[in-house]
Amino acid sequence: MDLRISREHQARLDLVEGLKVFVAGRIMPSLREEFDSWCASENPPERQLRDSQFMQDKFSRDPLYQSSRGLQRLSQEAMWQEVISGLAERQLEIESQLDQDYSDAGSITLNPDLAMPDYYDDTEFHLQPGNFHKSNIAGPIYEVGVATYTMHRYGKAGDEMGRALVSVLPEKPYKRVLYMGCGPAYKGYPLVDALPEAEHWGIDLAAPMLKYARHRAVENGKPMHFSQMNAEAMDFPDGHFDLVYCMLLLHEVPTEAVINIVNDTARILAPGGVLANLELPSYDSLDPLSAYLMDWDTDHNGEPFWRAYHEMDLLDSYRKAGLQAEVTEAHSEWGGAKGNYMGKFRYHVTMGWKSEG
Amino acid sequence: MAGNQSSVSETDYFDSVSKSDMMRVVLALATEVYALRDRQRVLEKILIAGGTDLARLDEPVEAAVYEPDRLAERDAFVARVFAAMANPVASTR
Repeated sequence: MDLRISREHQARLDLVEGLKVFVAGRIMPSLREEFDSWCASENPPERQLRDSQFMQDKFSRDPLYQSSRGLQRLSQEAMWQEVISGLAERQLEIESQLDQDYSDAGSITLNPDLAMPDYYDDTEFHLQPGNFHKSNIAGPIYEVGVATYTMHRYGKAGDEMGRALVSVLPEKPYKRVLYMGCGPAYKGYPLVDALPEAEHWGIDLAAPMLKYARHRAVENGKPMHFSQMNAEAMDFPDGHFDLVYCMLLLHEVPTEAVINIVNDTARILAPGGVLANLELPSYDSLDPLSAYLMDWDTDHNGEPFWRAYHEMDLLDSYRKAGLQAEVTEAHSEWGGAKGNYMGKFRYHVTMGWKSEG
Repeated sequence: MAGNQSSVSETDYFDSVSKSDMMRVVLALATEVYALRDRQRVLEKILIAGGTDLARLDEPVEAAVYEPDRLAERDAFVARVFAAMANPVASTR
């Protein structure tokens, strides 16, 4: 699907992206320099720098901090506005493409009776208006928006995370593979390519995302099956999958839902099966300023469960679900992704194994 | 669709930033926009008079990030307009 928008809309979107680049490349380095200089002169203990209230008191009146945060927030709002108005000009054309029936390999099964969890219905993730399920063209809106949001750092394919995940998957014969919270699913293409003999499935709460995922998969020759389900209570039989994975999903759901997802995944994993959850680095693995700035997204960038995810003991949840668990670092052939706050970083993959017995 | 505006409550992210710096951004932007509009108006008149079809101006395009010239122009423009925000002075209110 051609997701290009008219020159006038794209020019506005380019400007908004340029503002994000300016914040990341010009303002943030100055803020970091100011912070480092202050640390060198005041020598505060690390315990204080890890205390969000202390950091808030330090930064809340700081003009450089306010400039960076204010422009970050306003650029995010403007970004969605421009993406939505740009794609609205082509909405009917896009909808008709999404409504096509395909005879290509793979499938799509929607469930109009599936109840959206309250937390999901009430949140606009990353400030995307209408979230992922209230616009028929939420999938294209998401893809164009996220490319802009990440300043096109993940390239046109947008699948860098999938390549990173492939690099740490244990060598096993995977017959059935499930991508939970797949959205448009393009981040999972490297797994489809790396495991061509396997049957690939993707699930999501949002029907518009799945329709776009199906269209995109057909267009890209990826034989994937899509089904509308809640990962907290999936319709698959026990022991059905050899590999279940997700990318940047678990930080978008409340702690109770994370635990439900892990438990239901343990149920549908076959003996010896693997659960792989790829996420951004934990706060405690980052320097205090980067961690504090990442945490800002919890209250200001439509990431209401981000802090709770970082504070929960995910390994413990895995173990309570009967999985062996460990965290490993992953990166693609790029050697690491580039973050808005912390330079180059490696993903954290929480890996779980179900016993063979 | 719930509309184009986020439902997240309003926060004044800039309450310590000098209003003079904010107005410098607005003034820089207004100056750029006015100069561009003036130049574009004249340019379109010249082109139409010469028989050029301007429909191409409304065609879909890739993001600027895929065209080095557009990218450089964009980044220079943002740096020019938002210069005051890279080194803001505290509000003296």
